[in-house]
Amino acid sequence: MTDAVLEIDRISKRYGAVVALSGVGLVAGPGEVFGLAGRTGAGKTTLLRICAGVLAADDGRVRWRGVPIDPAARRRIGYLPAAGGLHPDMTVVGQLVYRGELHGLDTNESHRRAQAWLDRLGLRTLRDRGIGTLDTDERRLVCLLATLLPEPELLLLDEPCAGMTPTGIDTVFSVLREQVDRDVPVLFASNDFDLVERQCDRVGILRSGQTVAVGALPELTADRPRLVAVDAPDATVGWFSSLPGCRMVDVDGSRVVLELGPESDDQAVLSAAMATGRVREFTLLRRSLAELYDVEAG
Amino acid sequence: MNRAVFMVARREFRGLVWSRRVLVCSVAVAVLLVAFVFLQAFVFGHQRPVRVGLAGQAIALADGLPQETASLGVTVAVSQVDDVADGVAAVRAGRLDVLVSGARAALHVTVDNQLDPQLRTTLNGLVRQQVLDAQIAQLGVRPQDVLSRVDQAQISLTRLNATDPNRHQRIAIGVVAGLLVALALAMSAGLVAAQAAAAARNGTTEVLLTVLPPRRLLLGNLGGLGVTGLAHLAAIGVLGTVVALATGVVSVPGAVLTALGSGLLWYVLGFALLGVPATRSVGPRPLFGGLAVVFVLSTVLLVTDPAGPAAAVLSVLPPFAPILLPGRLAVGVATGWQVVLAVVLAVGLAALTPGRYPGRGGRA
Repeated sequence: MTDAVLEIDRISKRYGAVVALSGVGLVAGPGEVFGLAGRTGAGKTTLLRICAGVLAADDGRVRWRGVPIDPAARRRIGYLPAAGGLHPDMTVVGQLVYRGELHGLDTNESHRRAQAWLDRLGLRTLRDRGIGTLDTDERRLVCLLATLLPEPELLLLDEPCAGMTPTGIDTVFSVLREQVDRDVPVLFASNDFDLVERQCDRVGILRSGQTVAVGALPELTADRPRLVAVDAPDATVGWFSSLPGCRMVDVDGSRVVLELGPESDDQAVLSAAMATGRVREFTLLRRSLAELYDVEAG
Repeated sequence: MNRAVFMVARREFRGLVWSRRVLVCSVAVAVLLVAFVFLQAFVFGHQRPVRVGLAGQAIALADGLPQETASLGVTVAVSQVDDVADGVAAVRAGRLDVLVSGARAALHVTVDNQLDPQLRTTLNGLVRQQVLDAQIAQLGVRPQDVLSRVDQAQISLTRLNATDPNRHQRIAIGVVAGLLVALALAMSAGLVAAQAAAAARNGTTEVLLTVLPPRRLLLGNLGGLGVTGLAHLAAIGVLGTVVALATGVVSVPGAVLTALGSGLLWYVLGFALLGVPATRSVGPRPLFGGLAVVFVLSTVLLVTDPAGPAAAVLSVLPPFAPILLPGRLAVGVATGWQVVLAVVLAVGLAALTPGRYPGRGGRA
């Protein structure tokens, strides 16, 4: 499954006058959880729908294993829509078996897999419960199981953890990591930047239908301005102004947060601070994905 | 892929056929239909027999009187009275409607207020017959021979416009059939719209589109919903047929069965016409309004002139055919070519109706 690569090539999509996607390009490969991050309306759902074959793109191509996705390939994709895709009038086991059968499994095999998944996640007691009676964690986990039951070769997950507790989210990602270990690429869309940052191997950030950043988190943050927090209570106002490439972005009493440009040296900042007297804090701050995105979003 | 279509249809059917909202609609329609039949059988269509007491020599009329009156459409319940005084008292007390006493050639009738005209005609006929028999006997001829010859002497009749004696029954059956089809179509159109909205809301459409192309998904959805509506309509129709025949409200079982069969067929064709438009985002309300207009116009045509050119033309056109044609078939005025033409037009229009296939919308 070494060629199990999803290539999203310059996809564009309009809804009337609204541009939902404009030339979006990404590549998600085996052995990774690819996080698709963006605010509501950024185009994440549209992009996943196009990848799943639910929507047609106006322009561009989606290739799976090097060829455009056809109906046969589509049946090997596990797509979990943001709304969940469960029939509220069915039981948990009925829903799982139904999804297995839709993907061509016979009834017995669908039952066997459904039971195995429920046992494995400790959800056996939900077996005969109605979908409408489940809480958010339970419902989201059943959504995921329904997606995984046919053993898809590619996972497209749209906000799979929305509204879940941390425990539920951990369960979701433990399952997804197993899929990644099987070389199943996982494309994971969320507007929770912290979650994407914590759980995904690589990230693509969408804003207003355009890709604004793609890559592993360290790569994305490497050439970005660094932040440093300095608390020098004896220093005069603007003590850092003579340092090249250094700009204040926040101040709280004697504590300032400085943005350091590429030409700045954090050790020079520390030396300048110490030259003013006492230094109570000197901390290099890590830029979160949300901060990075906000910078990019401008 | 066909298996997936079947599975979608089966899921829709199983999820809806016993659902509360569908059962409530169907039970309500069934109750109204049965109530209508019972009212027709035991209230509106039921005439209490005229209670006739026979006293003295008039007791001899006990066998012949019911037959004579029945031929004129009057049902009598005959009883014997011990004497005239008791009979008069019974009439006065309302236990009898009519007291007949006296010799056959000079019957005396006592009523509280009015004598049914048909019964009066019958009794007068019996008296005159008795007198005539006596007169013929005096001539030395057997009255039976004379009367036999008289009975054989009849006019010959040519009907330029044959009137079906059960015409009103057939029209009523046709109207009821049209109403049931219209109600079933309205319920089904509402279900289609509701299911389409729910499927879009809970994301099931998106999931199904990964295994089925839009047209086939729509086929599965509409198939399941259509069979659900058909099953309920069939149950209501069979129930109504059984009750109507068992209570004797209708005396033309052929017309009832024709209406039932054609109603089910035209429900299928009507659903094929309405199902796809019902999935559109505009919702089912315009369809409900359209169905109501079609039903009212169809009923007016069916009652006033079911064989006329207006009814004939409209009954083959798709908007009217599902409701008007079963009625015209029940009345017996629809021709074979009209049925064939109507089916062809309905199927053709259904095939050409553009659908709002799932998955074409969506937001980022």
